[in-house]
Amino acid sequence: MKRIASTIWLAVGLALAVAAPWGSVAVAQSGPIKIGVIGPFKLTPGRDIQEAATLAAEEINAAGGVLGRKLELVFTETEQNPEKGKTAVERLLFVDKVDAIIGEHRSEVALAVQPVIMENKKIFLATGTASPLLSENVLKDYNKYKYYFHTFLNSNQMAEHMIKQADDMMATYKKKKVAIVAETAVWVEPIVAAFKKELGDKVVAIERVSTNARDLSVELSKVASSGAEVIVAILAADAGLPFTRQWADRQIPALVTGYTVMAQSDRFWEQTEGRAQGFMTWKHGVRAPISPKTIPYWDAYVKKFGHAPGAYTNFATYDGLYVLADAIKRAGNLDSDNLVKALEATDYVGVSGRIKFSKRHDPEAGAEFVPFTYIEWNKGEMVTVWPPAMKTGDFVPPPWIK
Amino acid sequence: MFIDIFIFGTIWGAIYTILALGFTLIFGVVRILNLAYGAIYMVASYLIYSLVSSLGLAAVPAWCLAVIASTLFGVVLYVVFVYPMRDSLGRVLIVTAGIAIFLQEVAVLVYSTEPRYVPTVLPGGLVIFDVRVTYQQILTLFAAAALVAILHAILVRTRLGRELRAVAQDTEMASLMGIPVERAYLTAMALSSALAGAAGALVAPFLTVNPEMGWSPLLVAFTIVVLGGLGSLWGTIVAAFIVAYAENLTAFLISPQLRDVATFAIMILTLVFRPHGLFGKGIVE
Repeated sequence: MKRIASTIWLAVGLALAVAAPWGSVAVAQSGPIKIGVIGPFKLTPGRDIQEAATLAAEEINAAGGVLGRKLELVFTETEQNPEKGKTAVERLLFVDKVDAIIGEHRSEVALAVQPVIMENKKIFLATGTASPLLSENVLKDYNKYKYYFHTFLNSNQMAEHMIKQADDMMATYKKKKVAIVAETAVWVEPIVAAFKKELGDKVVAIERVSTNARDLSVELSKVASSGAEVIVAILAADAGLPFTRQWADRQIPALVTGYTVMAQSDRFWEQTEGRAQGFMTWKHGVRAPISPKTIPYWDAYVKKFGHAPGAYTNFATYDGLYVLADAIKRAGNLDSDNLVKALEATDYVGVSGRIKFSKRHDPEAGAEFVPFTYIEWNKGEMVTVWPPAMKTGDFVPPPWIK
Repeated sequence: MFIDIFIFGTIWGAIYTILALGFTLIFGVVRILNLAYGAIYMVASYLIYSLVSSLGLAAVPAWCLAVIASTLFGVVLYVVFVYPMRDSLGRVLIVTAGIAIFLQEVAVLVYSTEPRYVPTVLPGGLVIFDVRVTYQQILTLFAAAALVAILHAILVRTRLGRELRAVAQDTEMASLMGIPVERAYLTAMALSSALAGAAGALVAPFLTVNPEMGWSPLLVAFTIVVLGGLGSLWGTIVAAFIVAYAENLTAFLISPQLRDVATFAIMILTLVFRPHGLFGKGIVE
């Protein structure tokens, strides 16, 4: 009798053990598609990742989801720290068991988490990093890194277009000397090297700034004494704020262009107490007719969140989630290898332009793909001033420069 | 360029003086190393930010409230944490470091790591020998000079000041002479915290406020105290200007990124070649 009971229990146990995985697969296939979203959500670039992803997911779910399933976003904070980023990604992969990961704005974090995600054969769609090292990995070791895609431009692409714009600005305003004020970070090096190579003797000063610099009076004094008439600022970190405040306070006689991440924030005017008047920066994502979707998206975003899209991560994340959803639909399932093929075949018109991935899985850049647009702060507003085809207003120099 | 070095060195020398005087007071009188000193400076800056930006208070009342709050915070810090373990320098060091990290994390939670700004009191500026200096920087210079004068008057002309100096000179003898040593300690802590708060108020309008802003001034204040000599008022002032000019010279002539290297070099060289500092182990006078 005892033996029969044991046999019955054993059979029940075996049945449960065998049935459990099938049961969970059934649940997983009918449950939501889980997308991990990583970034420093307390900072403007992270806030924009979070909000843009939320809006895109809501819209996609309202339209019936993907393959009949809802998208579920799992947000995990990286605090701009590579170690914390790795922990965040491991949690997403092994605890939350996400189907793909998007987001992040610091190259150092993305470089740390990229191998972890690749080894687990999941799609990583970076929406704010700029180091070309990330997509170089795709070229170097395709089989391992093919799961990496990027909806933002890399530093080499930035350098090409930044030089074009700086050249155009110098020709228009008859300026001959340029200074580069660039932070010390991995994504900046190719841009500084390209400026040195392309502009040669026109570059009269190169000031490298620590990412946590609070006082830039020395750098600005050196720029002023070099006779530079244009400053190409390349500042992704917090130094962009004291740089702008001190540039205006000291009335440094040089126009500013380049790429200052803090100047892309809708809060920048308030943060500089209006000192940003005449301050220009490249901004990925502006309220301009880049595509038929751009202005409606901008207005819907302002209506939902009460502020304008701020950082460069915004358009890249919104488009990124749509590109991923589009690829899942075309692939018909969540198999990562199938998704890679679908993503490589992407030709999608989003809010930031037409997105097609290059061989290294970066988006193609340029007028017919993702255009390179500059804004200027003028009377509290971000006005698109470059390129001429996209501009919504004219560039007005800061009050102390005639 | 040397005019730039002189002007900006002078402004920073004034700020460093205020920072280091607070540090040397606590170091010279109570004989403890208060690692939460930089955190008090950070908290004062955030307080001004909140009072001005969120509550719409004018800048000067916000400054005064921040200094009062810093003073009270310093007193509570002393009574609750330092007093019970004052005899153990190591324990005080660990506890104050812990408090500094705790306050930094609280600031991250409340304000995030995004830099904040404090509105300037005096917008605009003027050109001095081809270098444009803001009115805010000039105000900082005069405010620092006024604070030094007030501190000097307190130390020299008041009973509390005389008690502080006596305790700094010889605690045991001062105690035997009937000087209330505990009151002197508490006064030193209060004055020191007030100066940290004042330094935060002076610096916040032309730099940015962030949770980590307290650590760098702590290193600078420590270097100045080592260079100037423990407990010496004039030694501290001279050392503050030496450090500020050395930092600016390094930044201008070599690289701004080596500014902290200059500070560390001064500290190491002083400890190796002149451990008593430029003005010896003096008294507050």
